[in-house]
Amino acid sequence: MKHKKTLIAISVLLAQLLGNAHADTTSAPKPKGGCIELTTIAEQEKTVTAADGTVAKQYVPAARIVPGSEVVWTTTARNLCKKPAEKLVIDQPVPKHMVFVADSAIGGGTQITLSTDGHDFKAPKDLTVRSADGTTRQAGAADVRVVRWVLSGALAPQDSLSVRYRAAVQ
Amino acid sequence: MSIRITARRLALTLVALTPLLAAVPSQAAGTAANTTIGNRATVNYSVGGIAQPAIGSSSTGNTAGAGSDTTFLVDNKIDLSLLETNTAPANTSPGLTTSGTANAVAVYKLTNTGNFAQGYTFGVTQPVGGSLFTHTDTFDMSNTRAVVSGAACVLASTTTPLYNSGTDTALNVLTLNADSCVYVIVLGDTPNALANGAAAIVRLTATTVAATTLAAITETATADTAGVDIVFADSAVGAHVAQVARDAKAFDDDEYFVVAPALTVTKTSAVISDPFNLLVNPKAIPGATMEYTVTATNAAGGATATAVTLADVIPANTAFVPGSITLNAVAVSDAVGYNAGTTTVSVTVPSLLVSTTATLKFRVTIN
Repeated sequence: MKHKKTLIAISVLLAQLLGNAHADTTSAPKPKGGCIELTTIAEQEKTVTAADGTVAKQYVPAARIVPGSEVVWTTTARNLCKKPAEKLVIDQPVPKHMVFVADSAIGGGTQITLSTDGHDFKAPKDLTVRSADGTTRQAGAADVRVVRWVLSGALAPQDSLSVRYRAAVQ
Repeated sequence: MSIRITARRLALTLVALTPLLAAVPSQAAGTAANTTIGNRATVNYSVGGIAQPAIGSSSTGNTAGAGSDTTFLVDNKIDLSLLETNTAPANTSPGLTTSGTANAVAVYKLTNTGNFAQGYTFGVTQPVGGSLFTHTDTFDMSNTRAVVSGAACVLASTTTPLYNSGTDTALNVLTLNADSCVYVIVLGDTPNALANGAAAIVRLTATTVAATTLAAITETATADTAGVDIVFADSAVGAHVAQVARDAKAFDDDEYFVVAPALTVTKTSAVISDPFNLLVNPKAIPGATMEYTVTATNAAGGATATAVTLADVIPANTAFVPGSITLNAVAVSDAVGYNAGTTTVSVTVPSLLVSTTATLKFRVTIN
């Protein structure tokens, strides 16, 4: 009995570590809802020229993704509760097979930091990478593994916050 | 207890490995088609000063728990490069058929620069006019065809394989993986009676088709589908010649260049002796000995001439002097060089190199 529990603990742990999408959506019972509804979508930036010649950027659902294509990961947090949500922090990884596009992270009213390991978050200019020989160097866009947005104020009830970054398929 | 420790160690190991796995470089042609890329954000927040459980995102909106990945499939990028390998013409000679080994042949390197295994079919055309390698196109090869070389192809290598009639027989490429290459050879027969310097431009076109079945492929014309779409990504810019963009084809030109021997033959005669003056200022009178000199010169800029036969019927009213034949100052026996029945002196030079001369001498006496 004790062993069985431990095994379940290991599999849940593994599922979380590997980001296994199937484990938590189908098998686990749905926990009681929180205050934030979090939505992530993959989009592509499209430059649209209007009849009068003005150029505007549009975000359209990602389509025809081949190596080299840039995808915009857009995450939206909506406050479902009647109280403001404070200390709101959104973490969004850069998936495997993709490379972060430098300076592409945006999010109104947020402080944006980056991480190469998922633990230490720093401003892009302060981001370093430790090489195998022990030396450190300035991190490049390709080293970025997680993007973090910290909302300065509170997210009012029914308000939404959308944050974005772009990444290219390798 | 011991199992719990193992679990903790496993967790530590996996955490340590994650950044390394992410750092594994993808192949140059990119992420393979049909790869699922997933992403999931996490939000942490507080309400009324109390930290709330973290929430993971989903594509449709998630309000509790870990959420699920928002995913897309990497589509099938069709891209290829076809380049003639040695940036020089393949030398040929009139009447030569490229059916044997060791002939100079037009060789191309085909590289799959897309992100999935593909098949390829080939076509050979011969553009009219134009020039390549500073030679103007002046003739067409006959019986042109493309065969796939059996030689191993290395992306970074600049060597060019020779044609091997035993192994280079396939007419199509059934499967070429992304980031892999194969050599393709255009063979042809050179018509007879072509002069030194004639040039034939040959054009090889490779068309991307479905792997194994070699079925034609088309771009996904409709809106994005949930499955793997086909995207033609080949560029209009070619390394050697301009291409048609996004047609899943590539072509490049090579050239067969005729290098023929150009022979010049001369014949001179000299009186060696007569019965009265002997060797001093001899005159061509009956009984005098004459020496004929026949030369064959292979001009510079051509090719080695093989099996060059110099033949001369001795003049009327003369008699062949036995044992007088020499080729390049080396004696040739009468058995080899003289046919008494036809009164013909005949010697064969096996190989006459460019810019060299073969000299045949023989003597007769005037009747």
